[in-house]
Amino acid sequence: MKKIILFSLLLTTLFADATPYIGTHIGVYKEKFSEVDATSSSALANIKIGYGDRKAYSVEFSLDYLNNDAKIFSSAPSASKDGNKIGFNVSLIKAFDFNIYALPFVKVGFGSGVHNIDRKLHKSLAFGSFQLALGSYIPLSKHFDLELGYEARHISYEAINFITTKTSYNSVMNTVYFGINYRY
Amino acid sequence: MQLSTKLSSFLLPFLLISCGDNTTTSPIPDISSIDINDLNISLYSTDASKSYKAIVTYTDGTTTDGTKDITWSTPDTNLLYTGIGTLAPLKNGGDTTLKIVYASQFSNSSPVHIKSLQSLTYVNATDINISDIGNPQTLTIKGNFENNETNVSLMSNITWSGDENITISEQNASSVTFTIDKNVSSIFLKASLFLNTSNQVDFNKTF
Repeated sequence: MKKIILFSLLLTTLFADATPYIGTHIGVYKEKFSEVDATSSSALANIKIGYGDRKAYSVEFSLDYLNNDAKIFSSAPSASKDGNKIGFNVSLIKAFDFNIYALPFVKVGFGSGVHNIDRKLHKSLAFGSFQLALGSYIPLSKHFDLELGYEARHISYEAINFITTKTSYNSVMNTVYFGINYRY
Repeated sequence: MQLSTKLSSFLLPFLLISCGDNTTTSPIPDISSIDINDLNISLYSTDASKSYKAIVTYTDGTTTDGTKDITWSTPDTNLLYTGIGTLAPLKNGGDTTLKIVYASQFSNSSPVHIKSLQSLTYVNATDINISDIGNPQTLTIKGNFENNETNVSLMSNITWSGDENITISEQNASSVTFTIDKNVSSIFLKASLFLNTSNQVDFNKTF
């Protein structure tokens, strides 16, 4: 019982000035694979919904749409490149108020998604990710702020079936992005 | 000047990341085909079993043995036994198809012919002594198959039996050993191929 009360007090303290917010960002990414010599770089878009204080803690749920210009998994001659990725993420954000115009933040999260490809035994690959981002909010008003960030994401793809073996592929994706948030 | 510096600082990471190249040829090979290592399989009806391989070929030209990962089957289960990379005849002669399949995406097949045993030749029949009671006598046998092949093991799928006057003590790939128990004028030997199945074929001989 005491633990529940203490936890409730902690949450109340952390989210004392919390409000819901929505936002979006666009960015560019570069993905480098571990097991094979392959690179993918293109643009992404993200929409997010969260709850928190932009000067302290926030919890954020987001959807990614990643354009793709590389052919890494697909084997069909007709496929000039792999399909796009769609991902869902959950993140925890800690922002810092140093009484400067910007509010730096650290964002950690995890996610999962689907990468469309064209192979004989796979038309898509599921993936899981763990990500760490550094960035800053730039408040424009009480409700609006800009968001700049750099994110490093480790992605682990569903194992590919080669009949006699199954092989998983991993990558590291570096992303820089720029967006805007609206806080209620 | 200050604005351009700030703008450059802001755009630099975007430029650095977006300038990365894209892989345009997949470095990960895909499965190209699955094949049986013998595309014209032939078995003798007295073969015990034979092993075959399923070869997986990839788009980069490499191959691997996928025998254990592929489903082996035949539409004529009364004619041919199909295990994992193993085939055995179940009937004295016939034609069927061996099919290998993986995940309904990959398949291949091979015709299978089972060579029938037409008759038996008792090589030393004249050496059998009906009057020799109680002593083992060995009869050497050769099978005459449909392709006129005679040098084939008769060890498998054949069961020897005789009338109540003899006791069979041993059989191997090319002979059967028996003892005559009583003083009789003739003895009867029977070689049953695929005994106690619907495909049983008997080869009888009286001495």
